[in-house]
Amino acid sequence: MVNETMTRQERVAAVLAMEQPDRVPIVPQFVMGTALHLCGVSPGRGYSDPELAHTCMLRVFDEYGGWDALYETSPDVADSGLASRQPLRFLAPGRDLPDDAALQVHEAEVITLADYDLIADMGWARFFDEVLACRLIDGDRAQVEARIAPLEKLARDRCAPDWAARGVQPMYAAMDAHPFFALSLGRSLVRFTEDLYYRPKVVERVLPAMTRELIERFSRKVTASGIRGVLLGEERVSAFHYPPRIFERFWLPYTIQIVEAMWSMGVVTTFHLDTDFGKNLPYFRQHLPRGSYVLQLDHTTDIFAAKELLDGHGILHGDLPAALQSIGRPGDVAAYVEKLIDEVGYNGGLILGVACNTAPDCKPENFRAFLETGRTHAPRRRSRTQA
Amino acid sequence: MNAGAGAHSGTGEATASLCQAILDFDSDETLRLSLARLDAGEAPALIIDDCRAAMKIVGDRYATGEYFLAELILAGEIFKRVVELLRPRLQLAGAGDSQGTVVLATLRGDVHYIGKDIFATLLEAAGFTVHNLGVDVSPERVVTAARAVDAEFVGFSGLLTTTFEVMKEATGLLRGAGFGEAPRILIGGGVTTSDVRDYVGADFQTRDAMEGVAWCTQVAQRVRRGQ
Repeated sequence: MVNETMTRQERVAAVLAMEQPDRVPIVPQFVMGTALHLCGVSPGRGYSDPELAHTCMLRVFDEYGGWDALYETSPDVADSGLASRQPLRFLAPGRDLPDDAALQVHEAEVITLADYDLIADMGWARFFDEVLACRLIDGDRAQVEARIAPLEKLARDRCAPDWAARGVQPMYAAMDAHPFFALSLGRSLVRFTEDLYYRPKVVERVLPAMTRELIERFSRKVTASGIRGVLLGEERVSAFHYPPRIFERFWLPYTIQIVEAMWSMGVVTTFHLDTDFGKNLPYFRQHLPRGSYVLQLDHTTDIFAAKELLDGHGILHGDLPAALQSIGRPGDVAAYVEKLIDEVGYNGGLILGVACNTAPDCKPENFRAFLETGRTHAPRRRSRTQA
Repeated sequence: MNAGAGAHSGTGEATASLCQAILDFDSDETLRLSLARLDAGEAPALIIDDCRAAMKIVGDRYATGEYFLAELILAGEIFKRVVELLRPRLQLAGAGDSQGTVVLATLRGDVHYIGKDIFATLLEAAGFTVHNLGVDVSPERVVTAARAVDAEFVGFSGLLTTTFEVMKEATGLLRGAGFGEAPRILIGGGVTTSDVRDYVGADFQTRDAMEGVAWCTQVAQRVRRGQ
């Protein structure tokens, strides 16, 4: 058993400072689809009613004993992507999909080859707000605003105060896709791959400006919120997709700029990394300052190997597999969480989380086992080799 | 990049040039060479055979770590364009030369398609006849399609855990559908694991498209040898 001596904030801060916490902090990327499932509310009903969705998020937090920090205070409703400038069409249950379906993205070539010029001229934010957002909903700017405004009001009037009342805070002042990832999503995987190989200078025309803009946006939000963390999503650049020369040319230099800019403000950058980054991990140790980054892994990267490579240099966040949440048994979940704590979190350096995000059909008993094991399990050994 | 001696099934400079164009990921040159051979009266099937030989090299280089998914995508796109170019003159995979027939689907409740479509292209390049049913497909439609084409393989792609139950349902229907010999069932996608394979009752699971192609090829070869 663990004797808790820290508050939620102290526990998270300790890990981010590369210090030993009283126990592993628990920060699942808890999504609304899971909340609705655990509350017995149909996806169609929840996604059409953001207030109900928020209530479900709170209810699960309260009924399952809570966790240590949030990704963000607002529920991830269908138009959240629009509000956070994600270049994707979101298909919502009850609106675009059957009532019982999960929220999904429909990846398509929503950014054309000609749009690179527009992005270069207008900047990413203006391009998104004035051009792409309208394209994504097949509407005009007034319609975009009509979708976003209620979410902002809900976030301000309900979400932030409700979570603050529970003593739990968001970890990130801002969350955004890496410029490389944003382009890949908007162009779609195949077209963007062709851009990288056949028209590399077109891509390089926009990446520097998109990076500067992202740093400015992150900096503004850090200053406004006082939160010393940002999250950068990247699911398309690992050696699962591309050779090192692509990673080194189109991703690494811009990443270093972002992390160093944040680090100079005392801000830790969290990378949300899907797909297998195993072959890319040495770059993080080689190029980023010690303690400046957290890697969220989705279980396709071997988190235990990552620990051996990055121990004492970076922080790891993960990685209960989605399949275990969905079809596993509580004993399997508990055993995996114990292994994570024993082998990755024994000396700090681990934020307990799930692979990518919580499964929309996560079994209640599995979610409970995840949280309870995280709260109560004291590490039994130092590492696999010393076990 | 060089195709290398003995790397392709055909002979001659034309074959080597076409192969090299694909290995250079040069779409325009590949199409130009294909058209030139077509105009010279060459059988479309021979041109496709040369493209498949190049795709085999691409697959081998992927297997050794020289190439990555990006190169599979680029070569696959070129292969698709050649097939589209020749399709009017070609019954691509006739009954006699197909490695086997594969039905692919993303099942009910899931609309992700990118991985499945990449896999479909790579299977076609490896000589399989592919019936890609698309996304949000009901298990009943899979069974109907598999029966109609006498599928040797059925593949399910999924990026959502919520499709595990549907995969299980579809697998159960296929196993009980009274095929002379039930099709082999494989599953793939970012959230699948060997535990999921066991849960749904599939024969094979992978997150790696080329690994799936290799498995289908090995099974098809074993079946042909009567093993």
